[in-house]
Amino acid sequence: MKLLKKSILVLIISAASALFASAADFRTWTSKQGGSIEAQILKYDNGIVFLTTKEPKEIQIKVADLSLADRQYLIEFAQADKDLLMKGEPDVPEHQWRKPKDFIKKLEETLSLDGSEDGFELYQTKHYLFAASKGVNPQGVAETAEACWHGMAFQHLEFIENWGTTRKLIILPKDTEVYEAVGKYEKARLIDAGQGEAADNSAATWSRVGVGNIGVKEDVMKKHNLKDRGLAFNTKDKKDFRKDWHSFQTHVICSDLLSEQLGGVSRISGNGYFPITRGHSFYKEIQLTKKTMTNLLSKDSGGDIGSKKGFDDGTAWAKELQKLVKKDKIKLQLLQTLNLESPKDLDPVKLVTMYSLSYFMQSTQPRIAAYAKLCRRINTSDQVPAPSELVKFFGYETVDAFEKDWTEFVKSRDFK
Amino acid sequence: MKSIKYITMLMLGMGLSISSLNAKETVEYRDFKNSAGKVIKAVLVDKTDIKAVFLMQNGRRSSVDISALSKEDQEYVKGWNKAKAYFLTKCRSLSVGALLTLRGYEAIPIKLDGNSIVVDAKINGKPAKFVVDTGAGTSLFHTGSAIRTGCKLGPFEHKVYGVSGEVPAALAQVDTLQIGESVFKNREILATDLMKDMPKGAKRRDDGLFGAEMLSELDAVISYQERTLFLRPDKSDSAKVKAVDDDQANEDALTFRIFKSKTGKIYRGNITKKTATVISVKTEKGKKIQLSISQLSPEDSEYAKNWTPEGALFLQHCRSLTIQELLELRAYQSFKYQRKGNHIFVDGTLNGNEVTWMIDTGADSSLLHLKAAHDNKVDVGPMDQKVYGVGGEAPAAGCTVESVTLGDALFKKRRILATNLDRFEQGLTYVGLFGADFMRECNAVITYREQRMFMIQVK
Repeated sequence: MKLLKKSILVLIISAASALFASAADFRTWTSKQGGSIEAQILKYDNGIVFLTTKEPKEIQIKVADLSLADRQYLIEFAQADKDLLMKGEPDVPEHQWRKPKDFIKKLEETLSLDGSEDGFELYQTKHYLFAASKGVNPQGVAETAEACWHGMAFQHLEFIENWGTTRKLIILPKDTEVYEAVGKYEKARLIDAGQGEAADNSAATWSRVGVGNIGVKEDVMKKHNLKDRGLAFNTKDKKDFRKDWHSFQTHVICSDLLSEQLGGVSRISGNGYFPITRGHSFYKEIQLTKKTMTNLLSKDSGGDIGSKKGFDDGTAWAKELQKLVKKDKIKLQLLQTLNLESPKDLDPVKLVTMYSLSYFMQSTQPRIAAYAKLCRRINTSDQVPAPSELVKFFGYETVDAFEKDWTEFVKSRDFK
Repeated sequence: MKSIKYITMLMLGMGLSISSLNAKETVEYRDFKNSAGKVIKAVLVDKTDIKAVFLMQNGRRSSVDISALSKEDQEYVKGWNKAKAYFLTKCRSLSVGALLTLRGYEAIPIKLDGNSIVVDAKINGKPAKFVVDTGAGTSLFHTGSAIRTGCKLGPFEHKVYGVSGEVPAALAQVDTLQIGESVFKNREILATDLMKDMPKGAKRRDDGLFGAEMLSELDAVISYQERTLFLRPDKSDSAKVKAVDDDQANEDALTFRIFKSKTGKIYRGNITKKTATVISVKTEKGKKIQLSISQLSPEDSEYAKNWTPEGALFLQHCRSLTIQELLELRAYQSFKYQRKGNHIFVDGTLNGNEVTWMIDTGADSSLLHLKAAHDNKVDVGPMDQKVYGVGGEAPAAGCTVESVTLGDALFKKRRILATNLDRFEQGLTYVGLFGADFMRECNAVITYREQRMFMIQVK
């Protein structure tokens, strides 16, 4: 099957029995289906969590119905046993998310980025604001975004706090013409802000990428309670937004969500950020939509733009890599993979290796928990831990032991 | 909001505290020795001036002459306090916030920008944002923000010293600086250009630094995990209440809570009774007032709805706990820090050598002093990096640190920057800034009054 591939511009941002709970603060507790409730923990006892809501009502929840992030919280702050994260098959929380009835609301006002009267129609969900051209139905992309958001909140402790109360702006233009107009807005905004070089970079790649990054002006941010960064999709067919689990959109949204959790890395951080974030986005795209439509685009200092992709057919990625690993044609190496710095370093095998690393790190429940801890560490330390330290998150003493299990995983049937 | 599917409603009107009382009590036995060296395993459950009452492992009680115990045990019995011990295990369920707000502290929510703690404030009534910075000896304004908020600026005849050297500064006359209920009046705060050397297009995320002198004045407590800054408004210039002395004898005077109405009125006192709609509050001046729950701020209305007499009694006992006792109950490590001027220091290691670190919440990432990095065999790269701070930019080197420890907390193989922190060659007694990156990783709690830092590393 030949897939229509979309390109993405890669940006690396610089920058026991009864137990008492100890931190009795109100926090958001999340269920598998995406239901959430703000409550304080009273105690954790024999697989049941006792909570009290603000109303106040006392409620009991089976720990098995709580998110992994909540279970991690119980381990860290209610002295619950680590076994809480060791049991059960890993869930795909994005697919377990149940859409609430009133999950999307059309707002009366419209949004104009450049002050003109003809604005985008606004649709609000719990965590996003979609600005759509007239005639665009945002239902599908909105469902994808909220389901993916739930996936992050389910697996990553502190994600909800890190995301905060602001929404992310996503622009859904009806065609390339409108998308190009958004590009002009972004270029002008960057020039106004004195960032000429960034403006040139944005303009040079804008038309070629499937999604553009934009800055949200302060007045718009304040008015709509938005984050300072937003996304604009480069639309060829406005029907793309109608259905959920569009591959490219899933890739972009999952990438953006992980970036929010990781918060970028410092200039001296060394390598690792690129393969972790990109590997994650491909892993999520393929896990959730069963295929990939994403190419990576890079712009080198000479201004040349190169495009990189994996094996032609995303659905065959796992099989192709499996074959190569089984025949000993390639060796999976952590250091080498973490040292990939940009799309320029990639070939199809390397890209798929990156994908397999992200897949391996999220392949079992304990590994997902370890991966979430790794992400928190990247957030606070602004760096990806050195390979010898990274493997310890996953319970390995040495990089060799990690690579051995990673290789076994790629050879196994679990790797799809 | 959709509620969680698997929930069973139990009962209404039961708050946190009362439920905690119902939870099982765990008992920890201790080895007591008599003067002849005989050891008994028991829990001290009561005492008189001459007798100690023990609960033995077989469930029996035994009364022993205190004078018959070993010297060490006599000291233990002497320092033991029944009310405290009885509630000790139950008090574990309290958060630092729950404990502090029982003592007249106000909880100010913080926003993390990177690793920096940003709080909302008002300067002369105008909204402003401050970074909470234990590393700033004095608070500092951004010149532009001082002008924006209508502060009169004096001549630039002062100097401030930062990571990047010295820069001219002017005194800004601040009529009011308000954070939560804490108000500083008629203060002179130094203002300087905090945007100096910042990359083009960079936007200032804050209007200045809320420095150590103000944090200290307000007995601040910083809790990363709770994402909260706790302050004592009664110690500010707000003059709404008389400041209460610190000694233990006056501790009772602080047993009030701050209630806010929807219209912004402030009441300080404790709930004595409540109905479904009204609370009776005894104010800290002894007056009795009635407040309608619906007229309170959302947080206080929540608190009022949750309030129960049993819970209040429980909390009253827990109040005698110190933050140190509370956090140590939860296996946090505790460090007494040294204070020099307004700066705070703790002892730890760098690549295995015993060293001193300065605690700096204003450092998004920990930062080494270049010479100390070399002295402690840190792998120092070329000076091709920059650090930005007060005074502008300064050259820096990327380094790989093999290990940093503070107590049991271990940070291995970290990439951090090193710069010359000793621009005036005064000789530094510390190796660098222990920054917010390490503190967030360890859920640090910093207390100004108790002069302690607490940490627990997630493993």
